Amino acid sequence: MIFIHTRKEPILPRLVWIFNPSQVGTRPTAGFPYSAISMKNKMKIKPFKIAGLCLVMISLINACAETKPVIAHKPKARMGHAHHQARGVISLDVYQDGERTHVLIGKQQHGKKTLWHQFSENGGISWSEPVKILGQDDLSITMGRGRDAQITAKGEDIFVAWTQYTDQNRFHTGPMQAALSHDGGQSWQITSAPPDWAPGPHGFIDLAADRHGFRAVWLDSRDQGQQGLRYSRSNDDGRHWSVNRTLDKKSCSCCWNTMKTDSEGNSYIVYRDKNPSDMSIGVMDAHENWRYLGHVGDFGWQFDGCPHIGAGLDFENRQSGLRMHALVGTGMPDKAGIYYLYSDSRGQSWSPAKRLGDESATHGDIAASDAGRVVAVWDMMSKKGLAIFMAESLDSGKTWSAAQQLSTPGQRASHPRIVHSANGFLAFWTEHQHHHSKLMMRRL
Amino acid sequence: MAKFLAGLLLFSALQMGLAQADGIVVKPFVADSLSKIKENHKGQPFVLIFWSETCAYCMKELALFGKLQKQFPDIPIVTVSTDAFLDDKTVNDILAEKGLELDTAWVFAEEYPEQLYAAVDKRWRGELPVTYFYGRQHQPIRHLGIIKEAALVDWMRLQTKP
Repeated sequence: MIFIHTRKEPILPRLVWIFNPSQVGTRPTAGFPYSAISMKNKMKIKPFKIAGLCLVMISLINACAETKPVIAHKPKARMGHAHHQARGVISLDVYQDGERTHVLIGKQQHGKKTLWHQFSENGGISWSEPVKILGQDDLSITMGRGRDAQITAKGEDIFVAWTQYTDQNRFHTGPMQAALSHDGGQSWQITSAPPDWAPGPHGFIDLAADRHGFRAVWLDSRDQGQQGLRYSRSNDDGRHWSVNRTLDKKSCSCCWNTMKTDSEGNSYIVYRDKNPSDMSIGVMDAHENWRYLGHVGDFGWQFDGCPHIGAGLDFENRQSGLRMHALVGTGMPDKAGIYYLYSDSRGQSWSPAKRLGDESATHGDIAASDAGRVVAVWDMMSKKGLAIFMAESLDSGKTWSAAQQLSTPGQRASHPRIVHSANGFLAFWTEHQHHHSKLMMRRL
Repeated sequence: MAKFLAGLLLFSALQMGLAQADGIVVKPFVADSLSKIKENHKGQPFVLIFWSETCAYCMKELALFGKLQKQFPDIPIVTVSTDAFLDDKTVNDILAEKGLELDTAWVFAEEYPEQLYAAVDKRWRGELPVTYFYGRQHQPIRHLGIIKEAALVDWMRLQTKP
């Protein structure tokens, strides 16, 4: 892994680093992807004469036929997914476990998908060598930004999960699959996945860890086709998973979930609800009692559709108690955008929603330090398409700085993530140019 | 030789027939496509539907339009897939499965869809389905999310009144 120091910002005098994706090995394409069609020509007589006759006949028939064009207008742009498949980093998850920052990177090259793990113990200054999950050069996986493969960790135990690719379902989403490492990510083995409803599909997974084990949430439609929020727990570091629980029978079908566990072992889960389609929060406590807490931001957005927008959540341990910081998105007409809220009542009530960015702000994340610094990152439209922006608060969310662009001007960037690491805040996102995506990181 | 020529004629005719029945002409939707669509339907009401193959609600809405198209054949339906460069076959398969009979369909033809979202509506961030109802004067009514059948029927009836 090579980091390139690219520039210093006068306003934020911190370093900008770029992950160099070329460091991550890929296999060359395995030959021409199309088979030649073999035509058996059984005609043995005068092939040139016949061919010429055929051409004349077809031309005559076509000329006499009709005036409406028969052949589809060929677009200038080449149509078809195969020609426009994204290359490079197409999935990203970040997890902070004590001093360690773990990243799980999903890559696609020549149609082959791989997952890679790395960690840093000094806030992103240096990183471990990338390790390919399961050593697989072509994982059968459905992933993309907003539906990224997920990672959680507890010391040397690391658990990753993803949605399997399948041709059987409309969205190519299959059952969840998982892999486990007990040596800090040096070696990986396949392990049982949290869902006990085998067929799936399972999607929009999030994972968290506490001192007892791992927890997983995801969406599936096991209840008469209705997409709902499911939960499971592993007390043996990801080897086995508990009987699944349905936390909400009816949730949004296409927004990512966020789960964060506090120091007391309470896992707070933020997910997009239905009727209205605002973000909801609930808590699974250390004794496995689930309690729905309410909405994070009461926008009253009634929307029967696919927003593809989740939330960010983090904690700040203050002298007066826990403060929760959330960043949620809504598409409510006249209110569309990204909003910041905090709660001093462990999610039961929330501050008024404060808008960060403009109406085009879509995907966001948030992180907080116990010193009262809170940093929000999100993507929104710039002059050249989506770009990454940030704002920060130095007083536990009371006041906020103006929005400031983080991503490279002129490059399309989306889906930022942020963690409070051992050495300050680390923001990650993906930038795209000419169908190639690369992972970007910046210490804030 | 005569038999061969007759066969050739038949083959060519069949080929033409197949080509005509080949399905919907898929066009690339770019920044100025909306104005072209409006120009194509000048003075005429039409419905513009944005959909994605990964949007379950869109599938329901397309099926609803497939049903109502038979009831209101004079109101043109224009579909735009927001899946960048979605292949023609998938477009044809999905629209046919939903019972829509169309001459043309549009597919987002920009690498990054948000540029087209903004070209259509600055407020649009990609939520789906989105449907625009254009009356004769082309004053659009925008509906975000799946639309209720009754509301749709009311609007279509209104447009067919002399």
